[in-house]
Amino acid sequence: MNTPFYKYGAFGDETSLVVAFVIGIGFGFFLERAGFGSARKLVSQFYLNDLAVFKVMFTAIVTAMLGTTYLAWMGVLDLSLVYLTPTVLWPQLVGGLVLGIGFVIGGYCPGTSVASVATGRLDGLAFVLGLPVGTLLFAEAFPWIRGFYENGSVGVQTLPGVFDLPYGLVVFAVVLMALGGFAGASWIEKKFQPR
Amino acid sequence: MTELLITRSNHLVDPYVHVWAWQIPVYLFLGGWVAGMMSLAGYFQWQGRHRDRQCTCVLTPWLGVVLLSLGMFALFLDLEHKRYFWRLYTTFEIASPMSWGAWILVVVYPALLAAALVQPPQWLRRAVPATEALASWLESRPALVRAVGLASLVLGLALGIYTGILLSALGARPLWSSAILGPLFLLSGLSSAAAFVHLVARRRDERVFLARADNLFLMLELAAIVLFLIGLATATEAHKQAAGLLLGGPYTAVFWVGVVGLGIAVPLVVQSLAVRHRIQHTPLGPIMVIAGGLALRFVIVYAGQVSHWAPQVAQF
Repeated sequence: MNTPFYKYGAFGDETSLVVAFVIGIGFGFFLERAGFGSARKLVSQFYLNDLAVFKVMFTAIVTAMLGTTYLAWMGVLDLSLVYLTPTVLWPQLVGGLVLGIGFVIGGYCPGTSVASVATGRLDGLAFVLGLPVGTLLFAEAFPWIRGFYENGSVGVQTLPGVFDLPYGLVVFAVVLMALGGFAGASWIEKKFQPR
Repeated sequence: MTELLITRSNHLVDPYVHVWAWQIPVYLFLGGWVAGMMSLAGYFQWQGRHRDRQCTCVLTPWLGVVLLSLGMFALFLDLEHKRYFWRLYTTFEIASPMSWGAWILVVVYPALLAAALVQPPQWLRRAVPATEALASWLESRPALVRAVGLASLVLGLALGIYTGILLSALGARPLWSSAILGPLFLLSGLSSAAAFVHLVARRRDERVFLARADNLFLMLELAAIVLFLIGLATATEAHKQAAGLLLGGPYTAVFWVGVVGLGIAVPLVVQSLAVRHRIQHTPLGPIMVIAGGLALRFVIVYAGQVSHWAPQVAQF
């Protein structure tokens, strides 16, 4: 068995959208069931009294990282065929900041807003309706911001490549970082509990 | 000299008979939706629930008249020779689903109006005193009201199944050449209607009943889709190629994501959780069911026109 399935032609473009839908629905379902359809729960991480979002997302990253590492090690997954988003430094920094500000103000990120709409939350619906509006505005404004959009492009970057370290060592370091992060998050949560 | 001989087809006919645009799927959707609402309202009237003014069966026949008229208008827009549409009513062809449909629609309007006049709204009673008298007359004859309800139920089922049979009777398109299409469109119409009535129902017990009914219709619709695809995939090569349009072909994503995923599976889960009080009742599920019903008509009508008996044409 060779993976990624799509890259090896196991299915075409149309079916890949169906696969993406199934994975997306599964992701959204578990987000919602974990309580991440609630803006109150999500913004608690910014007040440092409930860091469940940080813990869950870091767990997801570590799980995916270990999964891909083991699959590649077993020869099932060709890591060179896995799509990586190219780094465009400045626009990605600004984009992340804008998303973060929106997250703090409104209480949702794009994924959790869709999960919240599934249970009928109107504040989430405002976010979901804002997505196409924002996309449209971005597309219309693109000719003016094109220079900035492409500023700082450094291609595909990975931590093993940047630090010139063995892949396995970086994976191990990220796992240690996660364990430290979880312990630190629990300590912070206790310290910032509302009295 | 160049001699051009056309025996059967020309470029307007082959490779695709793509002559139906948005009007037909919109008509089929509205027809199926009204059919479902008629059936539900008929069932409620047959049970005597119309005596409660908050029953949705008071509203839906009126809405049915409006929606069916919009659907008929869409159908009218599709006609090439609009001035001669009345000729459909100068004959009755027993072997023609088109003729059956035209006459069913003629019978459906009076049935809808009769169902509506069983319990007219207050403003109509005041504006047209005759409706008040008629409602009182009907109220003193429960057997007649039950008959009106039964007629509404039966005609609703007939209209709903006809929207599918209209397509399945056109054997030139392999995708439509399936006996499951009639029940599939009927179930889709019933689920869209139950979803909408669930959305507007004022009584809590009625809302829960309709959410449960909608879940049942959605499960049956899923089963019908599976049977529809199995039937095509195990038939002739042309049918297999037609099924391929939805199984890896150009209509795969919109069918499995828009119709099956967002139109059936997700609302089924959301409504099941709501019925079990795990989450609150939201408009999201019903809206997705209704949008999924519309998407089903678009996919089946558009993909059906691409499907073809000639193998070289159905390739994609």
